[in-house]
Amino acid sequence: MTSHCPAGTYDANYGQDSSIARTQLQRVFLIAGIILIFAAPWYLGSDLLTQLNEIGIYIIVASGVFIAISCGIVNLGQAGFMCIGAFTSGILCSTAGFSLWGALPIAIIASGLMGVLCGLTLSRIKGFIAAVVTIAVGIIIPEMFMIILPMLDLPAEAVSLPEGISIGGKVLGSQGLYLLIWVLVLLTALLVLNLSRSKTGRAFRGTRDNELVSEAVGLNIRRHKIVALLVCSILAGIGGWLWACHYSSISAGAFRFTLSLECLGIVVLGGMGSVGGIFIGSVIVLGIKFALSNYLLPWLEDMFMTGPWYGVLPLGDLIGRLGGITPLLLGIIFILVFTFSPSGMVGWWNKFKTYYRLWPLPG
Amino acid sequence: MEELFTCLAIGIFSGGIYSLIALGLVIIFKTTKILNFAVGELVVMGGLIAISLLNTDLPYWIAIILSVAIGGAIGFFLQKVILSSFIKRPTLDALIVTCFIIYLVEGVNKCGWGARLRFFPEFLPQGQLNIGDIFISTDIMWSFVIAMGLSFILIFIFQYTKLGLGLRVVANDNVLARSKGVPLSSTHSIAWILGGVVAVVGGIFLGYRSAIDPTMSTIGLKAIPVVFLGGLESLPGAVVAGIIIGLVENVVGTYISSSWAGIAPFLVLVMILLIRPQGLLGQKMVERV
Repeated sequence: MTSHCPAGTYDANYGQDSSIARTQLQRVFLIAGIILIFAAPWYLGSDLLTQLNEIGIYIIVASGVFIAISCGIVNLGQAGFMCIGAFTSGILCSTAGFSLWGALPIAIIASGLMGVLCGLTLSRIKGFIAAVVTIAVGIIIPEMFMIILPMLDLPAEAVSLPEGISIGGKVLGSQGLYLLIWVLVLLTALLVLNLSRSKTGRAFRGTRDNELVSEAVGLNIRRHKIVALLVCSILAGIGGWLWACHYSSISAGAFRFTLSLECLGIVVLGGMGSVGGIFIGSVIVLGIKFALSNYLLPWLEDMFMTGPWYGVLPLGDLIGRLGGITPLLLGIIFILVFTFSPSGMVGWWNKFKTYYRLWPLPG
Repeated sequence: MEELFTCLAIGIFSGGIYSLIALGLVIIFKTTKILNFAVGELVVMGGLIAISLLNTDLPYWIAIILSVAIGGAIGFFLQKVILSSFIKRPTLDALIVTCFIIYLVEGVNKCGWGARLRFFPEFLPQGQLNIGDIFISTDIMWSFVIAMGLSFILIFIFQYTKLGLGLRVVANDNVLARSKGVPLSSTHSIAWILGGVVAVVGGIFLGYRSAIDPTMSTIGLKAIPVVFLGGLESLPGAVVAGIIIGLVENVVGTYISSSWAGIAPFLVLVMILLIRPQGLLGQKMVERV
């Protein structure tokens, strides 16, 4: 659902209707936002920058899920595609002497190939249940790497990169990495925006809303599904590569099924039809995770270990039990938001905008 | 040779449990057109509930009946509280919400039971069964027999009773069903209750073979390859496919390596979708606009 435009703003042609910033004020906010993002290394501490790096990676990866969903594919294997990107670059850098930049195209090609393979399988069955293929990918690939790594004389637990990402011979610190990640985030956002406004994007939505009718009007839905998964897996591959740059040590355990679910949650929480939603969703989900793991869980631990609630829960299991709070809370939030607002947070924002633009008339 | 036969026998026996879990999925899918992605977590939850009840002073049979009843209640709760508001929305939305149920159930599992391994008390008859040179412990056999028995009861309910007729009508044409007075929401509830019951029984048997901890959701997710191998809409297909998946998993685990055994069912899933998308016993779906 889109909101009403303010009074006096008319759409005279299709270009205006689908433009990114519809009013002058929106354009100002957009430019200010971009400046604010890129000025961040000069006014934020390195702790927050690391968090923002992570958020940026999630935005890129979740954009892939966004594109897949806009084509009607519930992608539950994004962690698998990411895993390919991360481990391809990890293995190339630590055994074949590649630099991270040299590994990037290969990582993209590898994850893209997997995406096409997955798309070929997936487009054999009709309907949304095709998502099971992506579950298979998400489960198979991290396990595969656990098997492959020992064959290459690498430790199966974690591959560590010999050196960080560098530009012009200089290794980037967290500030440089921040700029790199957010440039890629903006490029991704631009790609997703333009893709969903283009003919291909409309074909994706047609495939999602009714496969039969889309086929009847002459869309090649198999091709579109494969293209959607290709773009999705390439974005995941870039995300995986950035993951390798950011953490400099990668383990298959990080690419669990819950990571794919988080990406899906980000897209749904933000709003399934809007690119801004991915940004909002990532900030909210990672913000919740950060707040829980840095503030709430240590506090609860203190309370149970030494504080007034000592002995309420068995101590041996305490950490495991408290670890359940994050998925529980995220699950409740995702379900509540999705039940009451199918178009996520952005849906609520649009409703609010319509309300105040029409005020005092009832919306 | 004995090794092969033992491995085949264990494969068949553990496959029976997958069949049962897959039947729960198929019944929910046939009735509501939703594939329950949360099956893995629900199975784990069922196992954990059963362990907690079996470790109390209650007699075993009461504990098991109680945990099965709780499983049904969980299924009912999920349908009434969460999925009932998705009946009128696109199927895509309902599918996505089952993915979020994974989170919810995982959180409850971890908060409720912590992260350590839990073991079942030995409540099935212990002993060994000798067929020629093969030795199989009887409790695995009993779990197979019970799982198969329950599978046939489920198929019977679905095909030959009035309850099953209601489920099948809703599956076939829910507009027609509603106009004939079959209540949609409560029929969906029945399907979810059956799904919940089956998840608990599956959790008991899967956990009984080894142990269970809140992080092992992929063990129950193996029901998804089973469903697709058998054919998404086919109840007998699920039974046959469960046994095949059990066999494949055990043969791979014995002769290749245990890390391949975990992913073998999913490789089978990808292959069957490439070769025969409708599954072994499924029919090609004909859609009309």
